[in-house]
Amino acid sequence: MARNVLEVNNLKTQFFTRAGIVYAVDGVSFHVGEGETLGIVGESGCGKSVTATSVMRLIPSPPGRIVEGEILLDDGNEKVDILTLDDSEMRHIRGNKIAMIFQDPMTSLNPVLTVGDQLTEPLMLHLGLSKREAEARAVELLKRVGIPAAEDRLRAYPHQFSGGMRQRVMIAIALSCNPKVLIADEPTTALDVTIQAQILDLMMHLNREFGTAIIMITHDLGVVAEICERVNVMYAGQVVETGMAKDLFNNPQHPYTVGLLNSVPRIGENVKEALTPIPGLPPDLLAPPIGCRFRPRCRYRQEKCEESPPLAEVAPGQLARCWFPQGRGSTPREASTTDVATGATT
Amino acid sequence: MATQAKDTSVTTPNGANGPTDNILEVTGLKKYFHIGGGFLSKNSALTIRAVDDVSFAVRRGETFGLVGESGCGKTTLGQTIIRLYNPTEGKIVFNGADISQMGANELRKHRRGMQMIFQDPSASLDPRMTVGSIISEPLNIFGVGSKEERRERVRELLRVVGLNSYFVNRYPHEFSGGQRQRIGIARSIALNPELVICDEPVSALDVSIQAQVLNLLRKLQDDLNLTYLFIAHNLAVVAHISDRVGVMYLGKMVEIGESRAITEHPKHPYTQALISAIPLPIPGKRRDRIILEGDVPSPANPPTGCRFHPRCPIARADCAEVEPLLREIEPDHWVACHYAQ
Repeated sequence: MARNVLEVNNLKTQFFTRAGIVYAVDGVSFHVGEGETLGIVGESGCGKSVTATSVMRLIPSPPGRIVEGEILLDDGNEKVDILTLDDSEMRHIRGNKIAMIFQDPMTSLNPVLTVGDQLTEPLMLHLGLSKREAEARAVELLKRVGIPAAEDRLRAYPHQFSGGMRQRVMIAIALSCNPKVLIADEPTTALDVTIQAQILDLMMHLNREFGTAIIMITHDLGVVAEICERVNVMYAGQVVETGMAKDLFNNPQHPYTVGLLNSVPRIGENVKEALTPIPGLPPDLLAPPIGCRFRPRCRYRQEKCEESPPLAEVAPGQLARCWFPQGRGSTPREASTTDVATGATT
Repeated sequence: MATQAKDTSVTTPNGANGPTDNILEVTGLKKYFHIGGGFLSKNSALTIRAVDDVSFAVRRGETFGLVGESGCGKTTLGQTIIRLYNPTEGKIVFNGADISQMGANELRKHRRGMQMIFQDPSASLDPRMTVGSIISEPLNIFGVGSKEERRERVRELLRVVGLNSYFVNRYPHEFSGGQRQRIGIARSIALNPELVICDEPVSALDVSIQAQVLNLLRKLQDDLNLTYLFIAHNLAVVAHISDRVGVMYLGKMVEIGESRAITEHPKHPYTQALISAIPLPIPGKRRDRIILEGDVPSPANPPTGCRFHPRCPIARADCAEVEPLLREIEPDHWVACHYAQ
């Protein structure tokens, strides 16, 4: 097993609003190995993006605050908890050791600076290159992400690129300092499928070539199945299931994961057959349900579900936050002893 | 398997050779937008050919899916059919009447049978109107029934789309995205239309909610004998709900066929690439992916000949010169490509 470059333990991020405390991320733990691809999947409001912005320490404060937990980054030399760093130390990590790309490349690129300016800035800042060296490296980076006529494009502005090309520029900027971890927050959601295929292909290629670990945050189960080795499924601020992608998709354990997979229409399946949706709506995170958070929408709920289930192993290598896992070969919960949810609410 | 396929083709009432009952016929439809040039100059700087010579028909009672990537003209086509835009050229025949050049008064009578559901339910519902007044607006405009009857009809419509009838006095912001889309659906079926144009009705919704709305649309179709023109960019969703599918690229229809034929045996190289690009929710099962080079060209200056030729993996020299027309490659399966087999 490869060394963990990033380890998140019992992360809790809350937003203090006039209406009350929003428990956006509530006790999330996960790890990413060197060169690994981890998917974080869930619907809007499940806390997947807040988890990512917490790792980058980009939570707007106020109203947001990381109230508990640790985020350990191991770059091979030393292991630091980035929640203990001050702002200037954090600036050294952000964009350098951990980089992030966002859903909409138009809003994350500066419209009044050329692509060249934006590419060379981190190189000069983090790697201490001169302007000329940085430009040479910027051209190399643009070529690597598949932008034609890279030398000329250095002087172009973001609006002169198409959506797919802009996302390539974002990836070039993100990878410019050879980060250990690349967090991609819905990087292809704003793109058309044929362009999405190009970008996913590029990301997989860069992952293999440079060993950059990727955390892929998405709502699209297809994207996860395509590029991720391991998956975390999030619901209402918690990880409800985690495991290897092939196990989780072939044998989902948590009723929410089962429901998600049944909700997606698939190409080549029986056309005109009704889908099986999950009834109801996701909970309000100002007042999450007591016990299992999926309980109000779950068709397998029982009295026991009013107690919070821990995230525990239900099948080899597969963990679910559920008292009555639905997958094949799942072990009855009474018999399972491995509770990895550190500090789970008791 | 083969016999099954045969059976369906025999029992399909609107088969290629059988009598066809088309609720909508679109012939040679064009919609150009002129941009720039100032309002006094005769020549505009740019002409965007959003929809360029599109012909197809929608059969009564079916769901016809329209799929394509952003900028392919699918939304403009939908909005031109319902006459939110005036067509530049071509014919739109709805229920036997050509509505393409009709004046506003006459159009209103025909448009009653044709309604639309929009993509973004928060933008298409007036935030200052209650749900009750939103849904009863079409009823008021057409003077349907008495005030009491209209009020009762609104309650009934809310129940039909799966909302509580005591929501009538609430405002759109009090609802979730999925519920707002249900309100939009209730408004669209208020006048008992025959044809509903659904423009990306589920793409703003989360997957678990998306499935709820798709199932509702299907149930309403059965209960109310609706015909759908279902426009979306997600081929998996379109193929799931549609009987037949039309694929658009850069203002042109490039392939039309039964949903199953399109997804299982796509003929046009663009459709093939589009299908191969969809990530499957099955790990390890990667299709042989056809990755298209480059981006979609601008509809202001489309490529000559076949519009797909600069990105096409099987393009030959004459593809740049001769524009391919839709031809019937198999029964009820049309493709606009010189070399498709």
